[in-house]
Amino acid sequence: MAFIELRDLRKSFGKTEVVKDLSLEVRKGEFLSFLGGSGCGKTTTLRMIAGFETPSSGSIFIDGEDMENVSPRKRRLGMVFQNYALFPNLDVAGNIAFGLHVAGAKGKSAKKRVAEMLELIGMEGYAQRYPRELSGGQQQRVALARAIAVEPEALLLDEPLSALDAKIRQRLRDDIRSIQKKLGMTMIYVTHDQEEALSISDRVAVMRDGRIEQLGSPSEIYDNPATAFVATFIGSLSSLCCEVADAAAGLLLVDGRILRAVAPLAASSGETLSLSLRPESITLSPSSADDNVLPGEVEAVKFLGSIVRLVVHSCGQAVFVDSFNDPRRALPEPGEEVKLCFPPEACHLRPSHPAVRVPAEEISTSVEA
Amino acid sequence: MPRSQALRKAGSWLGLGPFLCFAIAFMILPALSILAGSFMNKSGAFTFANFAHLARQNIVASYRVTIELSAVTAAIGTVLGALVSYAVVAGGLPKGLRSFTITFSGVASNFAGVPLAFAFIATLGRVGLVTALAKSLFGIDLYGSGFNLYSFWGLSLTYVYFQMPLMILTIEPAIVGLRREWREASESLGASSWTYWLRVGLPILTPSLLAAFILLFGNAFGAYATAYALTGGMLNLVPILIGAQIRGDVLHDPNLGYALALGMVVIMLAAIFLYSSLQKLASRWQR
Amino acid sequence: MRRSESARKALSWFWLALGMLYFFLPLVATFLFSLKGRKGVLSFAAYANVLADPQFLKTFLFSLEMAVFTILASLVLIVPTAIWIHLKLPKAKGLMEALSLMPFVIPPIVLAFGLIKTYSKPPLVLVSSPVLLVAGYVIISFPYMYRTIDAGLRAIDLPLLTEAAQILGARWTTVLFRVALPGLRASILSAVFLCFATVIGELTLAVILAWPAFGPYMALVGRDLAYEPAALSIMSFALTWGSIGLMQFISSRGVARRGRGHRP
Repeated sequence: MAFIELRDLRKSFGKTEVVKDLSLEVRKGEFLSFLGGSGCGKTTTLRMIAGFETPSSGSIFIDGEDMENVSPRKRRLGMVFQNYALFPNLDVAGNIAFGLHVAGAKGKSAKKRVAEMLELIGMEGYAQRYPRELSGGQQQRVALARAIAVEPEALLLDEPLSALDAKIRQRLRDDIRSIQKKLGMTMIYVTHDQEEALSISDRVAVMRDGRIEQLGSPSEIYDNPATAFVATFIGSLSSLCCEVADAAAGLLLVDGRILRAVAPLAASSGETLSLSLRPESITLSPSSADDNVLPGEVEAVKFLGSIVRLVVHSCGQAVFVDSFNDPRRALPEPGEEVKLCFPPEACHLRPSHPAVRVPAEEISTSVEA
Repeated sequence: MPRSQALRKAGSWLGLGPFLCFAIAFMILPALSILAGSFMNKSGAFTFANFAHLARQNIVASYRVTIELSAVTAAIGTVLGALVSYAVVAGGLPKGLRSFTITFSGVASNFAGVPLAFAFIATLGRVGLVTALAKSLFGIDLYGSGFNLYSFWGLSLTYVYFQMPLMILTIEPAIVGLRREWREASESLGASSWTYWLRVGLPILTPSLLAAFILLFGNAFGAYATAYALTGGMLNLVPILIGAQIRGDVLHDPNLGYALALGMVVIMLAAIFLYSSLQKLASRWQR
Repeated sequence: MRRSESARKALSWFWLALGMLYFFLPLVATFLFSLKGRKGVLSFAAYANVLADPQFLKTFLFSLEMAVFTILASLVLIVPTAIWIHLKLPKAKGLMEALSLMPFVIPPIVLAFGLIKTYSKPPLVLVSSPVLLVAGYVIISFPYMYRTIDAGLRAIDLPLLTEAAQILGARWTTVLFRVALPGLRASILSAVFLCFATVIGELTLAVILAWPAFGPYMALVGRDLAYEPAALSIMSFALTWGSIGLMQFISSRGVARRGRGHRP
């Protein structure tokens, strides 16, 4: 049975409908992320779960109980905010103990719990410090500890790492995930950073325009994007126009050449489709006899640190090719003729709308460590 | 080259020249002359006598009344102003009300002195509207039961008319700075509204509230026009007393007036100092 | 809406209503009072009497004149100084802040006293000259004027714009007239209206320095007549509301911030 259930949720602010008909089940103990750009409704959805916004229609169930008239106070959910929201007039210990004191915990047991929390977040010795004396990352840890101290049923995190530097962000997200695993706590996480969502979640809900475009595990979302939006939002993608030559055999016609995708194709022969390729699935030399080969000319070479990205002009389109930086190999030069090789499994096919060509979307892979 | 740099620096300060000359001529110099005058007697000799006179009973009483008046109107203004300011900024009311209230507060805090006195006479004077309504609608005889507009409490009520809007304007930034997330975090941790205010909201606002209180105190302490227009000098307030020394009262003693004025300046200086310190404290917390 | 939210809203409405009642009741009462000029009938007789009084026009015009001089003197003194500080002398900002607190520390009653003492003996006898009154007014309105102009300068980030203009080859006159002043237009207008409202209704300096200004005139009327003071009060309020309303209107269009109200 679902631990947290959202049923046909809708939310409008005035005339604008921000969340449209959203249904979702969150399992107990899972780490679920809402991923999407700004304005997609992810934060609003989280705030509805927390009780800070009232749904225009639809219901929210937590552990089978309808939350319709339940105030945020009584929902037993913890919340971590983007700007930490630590109480400036209380020190670290006071902040962490806040929920405990509200619940009536007496001095000694509260102190013990605070010490436990400080150990969990690795900040023993900081008990007497005030929020203004802490860095952003430290404040967010304290905010996490404060929310967890009262042992909530689930933890809601609203873009908790957006305000932090890149390096701190990486460390902290791994810490959040390990704490979650350690405590077996259900966590609902909102972010616009796809790398964040993919790296720490059990499941990801990609949102756009108030709706969930796809819900699945990170690898599902990445390898089998259900819609064009998900395909272009997650990772980078190159798209080529192709025509189905033989649906049963999985043959495609691209720029006069026959390519092989995984058979059978869920399309009819002669249909025009959009062929999408992930940059990392293309190599410059065939690795097996099955591989498809397309000719191309190198347009640009981008050195991104651990990854080298080539922009190759092929079949009238720009195609991205990513490979690990190998010091033994020489990088191709612009203008060089190369071969693009990829297996049938790398071909992602989607109906193509002739009027709308999906351009090659380059999303920077966050190689800045 | 340090020399030309030093010359340029000096030149920069020259740019302030005209204004500084004006400020010195018409603000600093008069203030200093008052300071000097308070240490002199009528023939110009140095003396502490004026300060000794400050210990006179009617003068001490005057300071006491003025301090009481300032404290009372500052307290009422602080509480009411804070509540109204909170109501329009963070109380969930339609947004238009906030800008209207702020604008109106800007106007109302200017509406002091003679026009304000008249307004309150028309409202709570012997034949004022509220006085008459109280009698006809509720059968309450205000003046019969001891109320008098031309008294301490009448003047206090009048002062609150400009104290409250000043408070609304002054505390607004602090209330804006009271982040919504603090309240939400508190709620998510199970705290009620009361608990939130008691343990988070009020502690955070306290420095700003105190600072504003002191501002209002100083505002009332130095006020002359309203008291003069309403009570005509009946109420023994320090500003009125000072005015009387200048304008040739029966016991006209300008040197005493200087001492009184100096006393007032010292109190205002203390107020400003406390106000600035509290504001600095408040801004430290608000990061 | 949940119960706690609606409870909070109800309370907010309550306090706002209380505040508004406190503000508007005296105004309503005064207006009604002012309509009692003629016995038994509601009429504008009191207003007519006031307007017909030659002293009304005389004192009002006098205060108007003083206001104009004060505004001019303030602008000439404060605007260039503020610009100078922002561009060349940021260190002086602390000094200006301290100076702008002084008129609070030295209330008008004390200032008037000091001005008389300093300028009633030779060689500087200014007591009988309106220059002293205008100077006093400039000092009184200085904090609010300076803060308004300063806020306006901060909003347009003058140092940054000046650098950009200079890189593009502008001379300091161009910077002054085509960058600084246009950006300050809203602030200056705000400051002007604030100054105007302050001077017209000012009483303390005018009474102590014994000038036939509008404030003392109103006080005099209050002493002798019954309904005319109410009419004057409403007119004065309307004037202040008009000035500040205009000021708010202009600053909402521009980048200026409002100043605070003046002391009673």
